[in-house]
Amino acid sequence: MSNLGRLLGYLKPYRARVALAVLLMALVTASTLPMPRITQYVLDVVLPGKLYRMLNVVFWLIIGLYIFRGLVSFGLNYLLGWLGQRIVFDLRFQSYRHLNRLSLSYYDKRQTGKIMARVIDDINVIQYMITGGFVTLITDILTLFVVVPVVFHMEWRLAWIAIVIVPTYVLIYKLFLKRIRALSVQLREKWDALIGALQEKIAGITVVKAFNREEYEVERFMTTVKDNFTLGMTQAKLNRILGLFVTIISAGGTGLIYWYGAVLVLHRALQPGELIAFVGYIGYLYGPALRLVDFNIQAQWAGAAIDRVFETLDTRPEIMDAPDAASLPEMRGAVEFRDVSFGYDPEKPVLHHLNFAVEPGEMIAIVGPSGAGKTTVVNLIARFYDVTDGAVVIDGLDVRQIRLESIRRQIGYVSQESLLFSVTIRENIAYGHHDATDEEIVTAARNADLHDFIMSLPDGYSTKIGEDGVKLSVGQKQRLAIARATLTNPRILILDDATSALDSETEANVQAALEQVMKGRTNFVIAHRLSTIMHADRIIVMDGGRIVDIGRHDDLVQRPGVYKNLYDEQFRSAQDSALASILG
Amino acid sequence: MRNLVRLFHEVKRYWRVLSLIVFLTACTAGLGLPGPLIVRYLVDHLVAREPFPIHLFFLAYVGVSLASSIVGAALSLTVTYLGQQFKYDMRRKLYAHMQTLSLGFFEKSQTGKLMSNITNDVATLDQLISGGFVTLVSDLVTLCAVLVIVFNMNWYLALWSLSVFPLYIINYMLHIGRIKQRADEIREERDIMLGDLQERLAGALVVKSYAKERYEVRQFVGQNRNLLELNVNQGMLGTRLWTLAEFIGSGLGIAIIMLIGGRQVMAGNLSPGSLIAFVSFITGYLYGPILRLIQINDQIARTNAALTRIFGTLDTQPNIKDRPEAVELPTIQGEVEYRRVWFEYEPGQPVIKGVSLKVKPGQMVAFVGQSGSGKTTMINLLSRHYDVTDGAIIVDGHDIRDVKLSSLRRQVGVVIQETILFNTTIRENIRYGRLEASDEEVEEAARAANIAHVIEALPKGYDTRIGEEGVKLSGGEKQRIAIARAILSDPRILVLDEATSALDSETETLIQGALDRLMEGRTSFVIAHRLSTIVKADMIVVMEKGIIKEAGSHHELLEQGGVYAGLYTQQFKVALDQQRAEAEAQLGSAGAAATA
Repeated sequence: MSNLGRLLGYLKPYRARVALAVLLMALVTASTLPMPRITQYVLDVVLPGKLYRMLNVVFWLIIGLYIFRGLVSFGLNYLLGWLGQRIVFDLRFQSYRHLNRLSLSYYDKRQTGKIMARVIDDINVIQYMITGGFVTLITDILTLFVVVPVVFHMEWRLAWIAIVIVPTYVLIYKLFLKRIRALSVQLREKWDALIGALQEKIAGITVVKAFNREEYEVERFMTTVKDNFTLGMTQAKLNRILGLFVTIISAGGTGLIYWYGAVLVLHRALQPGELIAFVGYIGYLYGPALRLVDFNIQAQWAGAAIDRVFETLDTRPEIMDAPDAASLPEMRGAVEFRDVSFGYDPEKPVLHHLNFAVEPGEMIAIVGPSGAGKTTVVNLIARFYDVTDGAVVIDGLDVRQIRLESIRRQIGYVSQESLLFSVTIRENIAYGHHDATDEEIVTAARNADLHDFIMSLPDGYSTKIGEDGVKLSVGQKQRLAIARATLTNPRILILDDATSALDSETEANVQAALEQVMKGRTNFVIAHRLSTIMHADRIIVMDGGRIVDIGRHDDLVQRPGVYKNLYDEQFRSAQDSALASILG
Repeated sequence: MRNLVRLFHEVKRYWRVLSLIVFLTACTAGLGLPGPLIVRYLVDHLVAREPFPIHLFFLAYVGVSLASSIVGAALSLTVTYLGQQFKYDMRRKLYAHMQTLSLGFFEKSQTGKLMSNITNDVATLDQLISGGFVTLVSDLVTLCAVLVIVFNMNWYLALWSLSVFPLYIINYMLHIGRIKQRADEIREERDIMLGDLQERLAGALVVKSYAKERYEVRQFVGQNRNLLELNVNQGMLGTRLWTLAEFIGSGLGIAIIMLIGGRQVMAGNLSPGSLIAFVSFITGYLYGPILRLIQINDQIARTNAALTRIFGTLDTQPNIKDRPEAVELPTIQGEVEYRRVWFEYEPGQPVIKGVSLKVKPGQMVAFVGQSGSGKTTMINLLSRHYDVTDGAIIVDGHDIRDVKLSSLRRQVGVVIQETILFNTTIRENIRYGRLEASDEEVEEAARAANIAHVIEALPKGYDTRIGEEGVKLSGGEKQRIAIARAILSDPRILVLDEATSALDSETETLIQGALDRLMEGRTSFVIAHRLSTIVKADMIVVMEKGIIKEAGSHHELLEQGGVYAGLYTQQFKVALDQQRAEAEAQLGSAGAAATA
């Protein structure tokens, strides 16, 4: 319930509008009250007295009443619609801004689809509840407050009959509520599972097909759908039974009122019109009870949605600017690891006490077996994660003391997977530097040996990629990502296995171009192909989260160790055949 | 309209449930009608102060309400059942059909769109069937019955009460065009926002690398502000429509009935009870149904888009299908022949141009060439993700188009460039290669792929979940699990498409040992950029722009001094230089020793 309170807090900036809405609600409620009285007046006074003139008055009265009601309810609904949309806007904006603040570790652990669902579906559910069920609930409560005195004033004996039934409602609700709630939670979970499974299997269709698992997948998917089916039916049954009870109680109550009311009329203790009006008012009383069944279901969904939205908003970003963080407008590019230890899960460290210092302008290669922690090292430089112990220092400053934005702006990071967006090639390259000129973009493309390919496309740089666009090979994507990184003119360039999918010839071209780009910057290169890294100023050799050696290629191959093994493995066959071709 | 006919055919098979629904709907509609008549009876007796059997009245009133709510509950349950059953069947049909479609279909469609086909579009259809359809039936029944009743009660008053209808309909017509247009705009804007959102969230790494968080938030806010304005505008139009409708229907309608009906009562043509009944019939049973009947048109239009998408998917023929006379491919030796194969993804742009290649059982073939030269396509053709445009691929003497697809793919194991693992335990992921494999066999495969020690070091070992909420694996570890999966499936033909690119040389060597064992006795096709992986192939095929430039063993190709020799020296230049220097020094000293 505290989350509901928090949600209501979102209405605070719109206090005046909310107050106006409440006022309008009261007016709408008030406008429903005269109608039964008018009917009563017609029945008891106008018709028996044959007051033709009064009939005209009644006509205009009703018209006037409904015009008033129409104006007020138009204003109210417009206002509510505006408030609902505004809250959706605010919540979406806040969620998205917050998602952007959250560190990569948040994304590592979650499927994109589920994060999306929070920003879109959950917030929609909340909106429905606020502008739909919630407003009805308030109006109903307002009506109750007005109608109860009215009916007691009209005929207290009949009013008591109507009221006495209420506790049975409450009882029935209590009986059903728990089970319905539990079912809603289950249903939501099953639906999430269904979406998750679907997304995964459609995105991974290549594997499904490669292993001939189509039928198996259909069967598995259908079990999840079947679960949803069964739960959905159970919930529908419960709801219907509850609804049935509620209708029976209302019908019984109304019946009793008619019965006793008729007796009173026949004994001249009540006018016939009064009885009809009374029943009309009782409708206002029991109507909310019926609606509560629906609202209940809606509230269950909304409650879960509210919890999830706030859970996201409450997730603290692991990486945040310190309050006194300095900005570093011109980075020199000196990078130092001071006794750095790190684990994605603090229990399981993946880096142990790393120490090294890199001068501005150096090219550093990081090599080692997979799982050695190479990517983690560069991730720490870009501060995607914070060290568990020790410090990463750039230009003499702990990265935690520098504003994140000023670090990342000056780091060009090309990751293992080339993530591109579904926009034009030009926009993709210019992502890091939106106001780049066409020449700068072309130069960046040339640096990645991609210009000729782009020009061979009918639309050149304006070719859309991704969905509905042209399909790029993995190698082309990698080169596009490199072009994007070089365009920002970064002080530190990080290439994490960025050329793995290129054939040797293309890679050599890219390397040659990159050599120019790398000049004057600090460069970190992770690669498996040793030919890529042999000309690095220094090579950091990692194994099991530790630095096992640092040095130049020529020195490292001289001494036995991880690097020499790597080198030998990769070159043995080459050496063999080279020797063979020379000697033989 | 054609879509609707097809939908009708889809729904036809639920005719039992449907007839039950029609029956129950008619019952509910019928049971709703006595209410006002009973009240009329009461009012007339009360106004005349005539005694009447009150307990009978009570029983009738409660009985009718009770019966109507029981039938109502039964109806609503049946409708829910129909809806759920329909969704279940439709989803099964769609999903099963998607599974038969070829890779080309999935490459062209975004995952999110296919998903919403199965989830949202089907749900929209359900709304039409269990919402629109049921109300249509009950509204028609109610409408006819009420018209008969009110005209019977007093035709003059009935005509007067219907007089506001033209206004009602005009109001609706005036608004609906703009509301629909706005709805389209909202949908469009929303789709754009969703697409961008999905991409930016999946690409969080890039957004963060370039410190573009604020920029992205600004973009998002811009899109949402547009949506906000459209939605508010849409809401305003809707509110205006319904407010006016309520005024015309309830306000004007009731006022007219009171005025005209009142006069009728005073003239003695109508009883007071009838007047009360009239009001509830007209406002409660007439305006609603008529409006809904007008609206159903609209609902159908909305469903039409979903229908088009669903049938569009169902009508997409798989490019690759078993021929009717296709036979089971018997256990093969692994002889593969590409016979003058041509292939194009897009008509007029061939990517494979008349390639012929013969591979003996057990041979290892390596494809080498620039990105875009057609290597992956060659492999996709072999596992028949696409069919050749011209020529044929022959496996053990069978044209692969003449055998059952499943029997072919069962014998071709593929490890692809981008490692795809599923969100389940490591054990289940490996077992995906052969579902009936025992735990020991799974572990055996993991050992063979050189990943067993990594898995066993995890607290939960093979039962560790990967992916969301699970353990984070490195690229190389994922790839080795994928290799274990392929090893377990024990294929006759093995295809490795860049399967070892994310591995460092040492790990690759370890896996290579496993792969060597795996390849033994099997025909294998390997695509790799690292030449050290390739040099031991029986045949190296150098591809360039869709043709085979050279083919032969490593030594043969080196001797030819063509493209491959160039690539080779390129990659190993430094090593070669060094080696040559050393060799020459050795030769030199040997020569010197000899001369001495």
